[in-house]
Amino acid sequence: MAYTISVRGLRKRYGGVNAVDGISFDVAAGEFFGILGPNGAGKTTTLEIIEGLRRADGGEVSVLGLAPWPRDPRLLPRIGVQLQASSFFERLTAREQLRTFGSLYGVPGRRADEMLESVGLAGKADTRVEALSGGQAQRLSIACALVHDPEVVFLDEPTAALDPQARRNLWDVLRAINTGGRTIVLTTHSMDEAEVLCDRVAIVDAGRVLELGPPAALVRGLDAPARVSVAAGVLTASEALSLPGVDGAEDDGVSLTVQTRDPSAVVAALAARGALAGVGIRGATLEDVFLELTGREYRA
Amino acid sequence: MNGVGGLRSLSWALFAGFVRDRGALFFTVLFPLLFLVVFAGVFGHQSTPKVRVVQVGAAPVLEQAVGRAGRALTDTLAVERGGDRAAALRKVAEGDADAVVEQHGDVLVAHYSVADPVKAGTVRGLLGSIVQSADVAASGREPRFSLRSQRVEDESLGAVQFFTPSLLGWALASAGVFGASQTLVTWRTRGLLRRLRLSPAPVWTLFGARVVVSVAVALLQLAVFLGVASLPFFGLRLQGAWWMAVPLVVAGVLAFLAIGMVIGAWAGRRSPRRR
Repeated sequence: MAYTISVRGLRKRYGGVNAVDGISFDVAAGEFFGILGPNGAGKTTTLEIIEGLRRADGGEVSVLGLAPWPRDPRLLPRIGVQLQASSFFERLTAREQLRTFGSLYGVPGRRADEMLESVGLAGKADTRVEALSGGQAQRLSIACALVHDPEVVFLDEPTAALDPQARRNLWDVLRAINTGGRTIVLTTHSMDEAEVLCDRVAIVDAGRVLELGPPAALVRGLDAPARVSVAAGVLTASEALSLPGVDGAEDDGVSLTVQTRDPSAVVAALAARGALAGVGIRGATLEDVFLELTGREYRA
Repeated sequence: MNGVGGLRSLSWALFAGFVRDRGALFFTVLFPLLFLVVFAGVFGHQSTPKVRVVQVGAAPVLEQAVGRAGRALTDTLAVERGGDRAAALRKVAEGDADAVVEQHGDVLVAHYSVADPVKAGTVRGLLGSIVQSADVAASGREPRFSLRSQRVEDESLGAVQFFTPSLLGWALASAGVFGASQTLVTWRTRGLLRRLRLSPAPVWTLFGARVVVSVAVALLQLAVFLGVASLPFFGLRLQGAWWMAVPLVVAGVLAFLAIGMVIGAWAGRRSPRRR
C-alpha cells in the first residue's frame, strides 16, 4: 500500500555534525506516529525536513505522494503544522488568531469558531493570546494547525512545559483528532506520552532510528523484569531474596523493591508474610526501553 | 493560491495588532504630536525681538528720531534711560541690554557687545540710519529716496507652516522603519514566519500586508497631524496643491519601509536555534 509519509535515508549535516544520519520510516494513513528521543537527537530536524521547512542533504521524503521541498502550494493545505506555542500574531484574541490562520487557507470564520470549541477554548475566545495559560496557548496552537482540516498533522513536542492536568487535557484533544482518521506525527521526549498516544514509535538518537514499532511490542521485546515494591520494614532485602521467583531485592529505607519475572508468585509469598502494605507492581515501560537504547548517562 | 484573501487577513491582523499596541501608537502618533505642540506653541507666535538700548545722559538725536518715527521705530527699538554709565555698560557686557547710547556734541556713541554679532549688527545699522536721517533733516532738504521692504512668502507663513511637515516627516520615517523591522523580527523570533511559510499564502502577501498597513498608518498620521495643526491655536493653513502631500507621504513611507525591511532581515537573522 502507499504510505502517507515515506522517509528514506534522510541526512542533514550542521557544521561537522550529522544531525540526521540516515533515518528511514513509513507512516500509514490514520496512524499516530511518534518520534521519540533525547534532546539533540535530531527529532525536530527530521520533522522540519518532512514539513518542508528545511532541505535534506540526502535521502528522499514524500508526504501524500508529494515532495515537501521545494515549497509546494498543492501540499501545504493538506498538512497542518504546530510549531511553538508562541507562533501567534501579537495582541489578537484567540478567535481572531484562529480566523486569521483560517482565512489563509480560505476557511470561513464559522469553521474557525467550531475549532475553538473543539479544543475547549470557547470561553477564551475574546482573550488575547498573551493572556492565555501555557496549556491554553498550546491548545490554540494545535487548533491553528487543524483549522483547515488537514490530512496530516505534525506536532513538535506539544506537551513540553505543561503541567500534568494540561498535559492530560491535551492528550484527550490529540486522541480526538486522531479518531477523526487523520495521520499524526508527533515528536516528544516524554515516554508516557508516546506510550499513551502513539500507535508506533521510532526511538531516535544521534540522528539514527534505534528501534521502531508499537510501544507495547518494544516493551515486551526488552524482556525486562517486573518490579514489586512494598513498604520497607516488614521484610529485609536478604529475606526478600530468599522468596521464590525473586531475581533481586533492594531496600532504600522507604520501600523494598523486588525484581521478578514471576510477579504473581512473589505477591502471593509477600501476602503470606503480611508484607503487602503499600504494594505497587510496575512492568517495564517505554522509558526502560529508551534508557536501555540511549544509555543512562546524563547529556546536556 | 488565495493571495488576495491572505493579504486582506494578514493586513487586518497586523493593523489590529498595531492599534492595540499602546506603545507603538504613542510613538508613531502622540509623541511627534507632542513636539508639534511644543514647537509650534513656543515659536508659533514669535515676532522679531526688539533691540534694547540704554540711553545715558541726553541724546537729542535718538530722542528726536523716536519722537519723529513713533511706532515704526519703537517696534524694533526699546529705549531705556539709565543714569549710571558704568552700570549701563555692565548691562551690555552681561547681555541684559544690546547697546549703550550717549551723545557727545554731534557724535552719537554706541557701545555694543561682540558676544552677539547679530544684535550688534542690528544696533549699528539702526543707529546709523537714525544718524543719517537726522543729517538729512539738518540739511533742510526733503529726502529723495525711500525704502519699502516686502517679504517673498505670503502672509500665512508662521512657524507652524514649516514645523508641521518637518515633524510629520520625522514621524513617518520612524514609523516606517520601526514598524517594518519590528514586524519581521518578532515574527521570526516567535516562529510565526515559519508557520506562515507552511501556509498556502504566497510569500508576497506577507510583505504586501506590511506595506498596506504602513501606508494606512502613515495616512492616519497625516490626517491627525493636519487636524491638530489646523486647530485655531496652531493656525496651520492648507493652500495651493497641499493634497500633493498625500502621494508624497506614500512615497516617503515606502522608502523608509524598504530601509526597515532590510534592517529587519539583518537584525533578525540570528533566530534562536531549536532542538
